[in-house]
Amino acid sequence: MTTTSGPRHAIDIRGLTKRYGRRTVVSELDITVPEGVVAGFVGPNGAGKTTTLRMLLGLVRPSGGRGTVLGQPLHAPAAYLPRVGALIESPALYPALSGARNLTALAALGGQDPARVDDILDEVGLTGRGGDRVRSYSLGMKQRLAIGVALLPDPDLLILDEPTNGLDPTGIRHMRELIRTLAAAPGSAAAVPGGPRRTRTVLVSSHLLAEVEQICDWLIVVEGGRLAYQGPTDSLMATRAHDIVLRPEHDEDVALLADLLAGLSVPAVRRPHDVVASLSVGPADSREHARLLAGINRAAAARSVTLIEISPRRLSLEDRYQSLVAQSRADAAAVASVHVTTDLEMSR
Amino acid sequence: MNLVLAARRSFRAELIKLWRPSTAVAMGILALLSVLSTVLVIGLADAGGSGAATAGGPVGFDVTTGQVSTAAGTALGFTGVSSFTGLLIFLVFAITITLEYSQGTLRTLFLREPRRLGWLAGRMALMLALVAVALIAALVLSVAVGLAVAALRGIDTSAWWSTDGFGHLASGYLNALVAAAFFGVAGTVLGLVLRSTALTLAVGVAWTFPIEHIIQESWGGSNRVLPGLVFDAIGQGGVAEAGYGTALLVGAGYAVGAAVLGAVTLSRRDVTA
Repeated sequence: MTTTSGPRHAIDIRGLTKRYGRRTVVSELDITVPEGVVAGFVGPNGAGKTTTLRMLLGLVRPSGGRGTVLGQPLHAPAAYLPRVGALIESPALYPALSGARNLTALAALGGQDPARVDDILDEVGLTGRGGDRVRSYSLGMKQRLAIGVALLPDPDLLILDEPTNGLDPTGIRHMRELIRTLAAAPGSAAAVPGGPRRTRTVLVSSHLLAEVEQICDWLIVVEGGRLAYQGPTDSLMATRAHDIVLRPEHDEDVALLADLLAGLSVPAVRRPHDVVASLSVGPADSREHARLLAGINRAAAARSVTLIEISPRRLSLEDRYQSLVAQSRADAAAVASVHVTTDLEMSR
Repeated sequence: MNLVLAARRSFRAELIKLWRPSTAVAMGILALLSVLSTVLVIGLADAGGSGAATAGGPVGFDVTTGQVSTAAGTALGFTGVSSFTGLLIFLVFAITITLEYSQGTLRTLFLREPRRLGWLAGRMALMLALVAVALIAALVLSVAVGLAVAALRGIDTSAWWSTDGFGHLASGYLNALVAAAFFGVAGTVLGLVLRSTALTLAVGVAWTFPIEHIIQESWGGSNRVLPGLVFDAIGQGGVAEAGYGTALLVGAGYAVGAAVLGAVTLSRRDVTA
């Protein structure tokens, strides 16, 4: 019997790679998703998100990489897929069959109890429409039914690829609430009779960063098939806490305030109603930080500029995401440039 | 063992999927083809002639009332339509498998059952079971309609009820079933390889009908070599250019080769639909 210490991981993959001919779609991706978190998987179109998810689900064969999903080897998806539920891209269901019949057929295929179908329809809010053909469903209903399919195995790991795609604002809100409910629910029955139920992990890819920010406590950002960030969402948001918004009483004082900051060698961005200053003098709660802020305040008062707001800038995930993607692209360009230079030198 | 379990689950799941009116319609069309063939064969049979000439030989629409009145006459209508039955089954199998790609349902299926070969085996078993049932219905209807048309034309059908007559019925049914299974395998594998309904139908129909028959016109040996003609020969219990044994052997070779190709294609290829 082995004893493990430290956090358990629902997904722990190293060097995941997918190549189609000479084109590399996913490159040396390391993914770690702790058990029990709601993890957001974000990146621009073509970043390799769906290919990565398909590799995790055994639909696409990786060109390289190793690791585990729910403790089972990545290369043996049949060992872990019975505990995984997934919605990949658009909902793929049989339009001529009713919602209930779709679930019953797929439950039979996966060896799950068909008696769960009614409960699942209820869980995804389709109780009254279970007997109707899927072709009569709205997109939102199809999405919810597809999530119902994913719930059939009472999964420990739920993978949702763009679950809000094409939904209207009400549908998006319903989907967000559903994901929160599903994340809060426990996973499958205990491995040992009488033991605790397993913890459910949710991995959700989305373009809607505001949604991800609201529901995800773990974040994976990919760009160009490479990892740009991985870790707690809070950590990512906290890394720019040094940005301070300074707002004068009168808009015409913004220029004066910006000049004042330049005189103090504080980088600042001028905006119509305020100035965003980047204070790089230690942590936000440090004495140096407070001293600099007080100095700025005094200097402004000395120039007859009254500040009506001094507050940490609340960065959205979108702001952080854009800078991560830009940084990742710059890094990739630098690496490519080094390769070109090296190739040229080699050819001389 | 895991594959057997996967095949059993797949069989049950496919049964739930196919238990609907459109399946009954497809089976009805197959039976209707058989009935139509019987009406034409017996209704248009030339008066007179001897039954001995065609016993055990090729069956087609060019028959006499003498041939209809023999023990072999009981299955004449049923086997005479084997080419069309084969085409229908090829189309149904090809369309159903390619729809799994175009609707994206293949990925939904493989997320629930990742043992792909087990899934395919269960699916094929269910579809062939439905074909077997449809062919029994077609055979029964064909005999019933054949009796009615023969009575209208005053053809004696007493030989149909002999042991030999039932033997012809049984062998006609089995030959049609084997031919249908081979056509079904061919349709499925072509669908797995091409993954497009339009392309699969275009290639399959063009090859089985115009191309093979054009070659057949100029090369007598084509009945022993070209897959569509070979499967057709099996359905008819052998033809002049290809005896039953030869056709069965070559047809089985094609079916096994196609099954291997389909299995490799399905298990190795990425599911990107």
